[in-house]
Amino acid sequence: MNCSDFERRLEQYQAGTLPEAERREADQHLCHCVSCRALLEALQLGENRLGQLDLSQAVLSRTTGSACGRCRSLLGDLLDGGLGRGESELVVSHLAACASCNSLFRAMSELAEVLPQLREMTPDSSFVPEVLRSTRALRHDRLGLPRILEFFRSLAQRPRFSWEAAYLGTLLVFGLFGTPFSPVHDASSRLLASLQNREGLIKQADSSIQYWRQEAQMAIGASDRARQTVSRMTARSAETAELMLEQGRNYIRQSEAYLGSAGKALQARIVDVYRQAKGSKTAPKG
Amino acid sequence: MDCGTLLKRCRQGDELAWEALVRQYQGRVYSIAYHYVGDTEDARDLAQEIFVRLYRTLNHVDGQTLLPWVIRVARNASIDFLRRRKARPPGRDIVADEMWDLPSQAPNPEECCAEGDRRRLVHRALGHLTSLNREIIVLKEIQGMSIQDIASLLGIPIGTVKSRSNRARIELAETILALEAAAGGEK
Repeated sequence: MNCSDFERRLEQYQAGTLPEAERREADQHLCHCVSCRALLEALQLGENRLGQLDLSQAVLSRTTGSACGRCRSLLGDLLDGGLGRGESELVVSHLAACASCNSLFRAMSELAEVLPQLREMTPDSSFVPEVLRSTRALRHDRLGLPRILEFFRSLAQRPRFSWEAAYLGTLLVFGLFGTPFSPVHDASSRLLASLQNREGLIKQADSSIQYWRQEAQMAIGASDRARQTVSRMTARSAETAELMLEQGRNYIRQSEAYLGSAGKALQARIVDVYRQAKGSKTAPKG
Repeated sequence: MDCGTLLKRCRQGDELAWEALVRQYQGRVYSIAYHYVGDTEDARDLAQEIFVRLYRTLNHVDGQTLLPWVIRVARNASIDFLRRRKARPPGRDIVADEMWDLPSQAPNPEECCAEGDRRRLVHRALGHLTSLNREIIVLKEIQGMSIQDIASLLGIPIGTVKSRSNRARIELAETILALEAAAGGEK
């Protein structure tokens, strides 16, 4: 075995895991090689003094810094059993070396036992009767208007209700009137124009009403006059009918008188004619 | 009686079932209220308010999710209470976080033994945490909620809950060590 062979097997030699035959060869090499013997003695001396020199702290301070932050970030998982085996061993080895992390871990372990004991705290004996008294009044109106009123009452009693209402109101006004894209951003001008238009329309309507009122009065007057005319005509018609009736009667009387005289004359004539005819018949034939 | 049956009877207006449910959850509700507001009297009033809220919303839960629902309602009511107190602070000018440092005037049986001292120290240390870290501790370590439920309740990712939980526990442990060191120095 030469020096390079020994250096390759040095770790196993120190740990005592080298096979028997190789260990004998290494012992023989150490007997003859001064440099390898010095190397082995230096390593053994260094391990013995490692704890006293606090070499790891010095190395960490010059390389990655303290591992306490990383360790503390894993303490909760270590307590909950959420770490893997390898990571748990790393954290435990740090806790064994670091006093501050160790005391913190012990305090957290105690808290894990104490905090669940605070889960229930019993109030005094009058608590339950008072709760039952408070809820008895609510038994019959768990549904319906009182609940809705209570909802709005509790909403209005919220501390920031006024601020929220003012905020929403501002947003609403700004959204409606404040931007050029708002649907009613020119509502004021449109409303003014509409009001002016309405004023003109009202005047027009007023004059129309006056006109139609006059027309209606004229119509009423015409109607009155027509009624008077009809009544007058009706009266006249009655008088005319009376006169005509009287005339008719006169005509009938005259006709009757005429017919009477004419009949008498006709009768006399007929008698004359008869007498004449009778006389000619009785005269001597010549 | 299981939670589903209890809940069903409560919905039907059974006062005995409701009383049983109140007695079953009063410890948890009072504990949550106390750890949020840090004052026994306020916690008592708040716990009553939480039960009134629970009673009004009985129709919105099933027996399987009763406990997460109780914790959710208690947490939301506690947040509302803190907001109201912040908007209308009490007559005595005390910041919420400072209240945890005040010695209680009421006689406390916990003070009678070493275990009580330990709990009191933990309560004081909780008062020194930030509100989010305290909330994580209350929900996960004290109430034993799962990380998924906490993420759903707080509306944050699961990874954030995990990292927050670890940081909160470290912060709490460091605060306890600091308080113990300060107490040792005073002695």
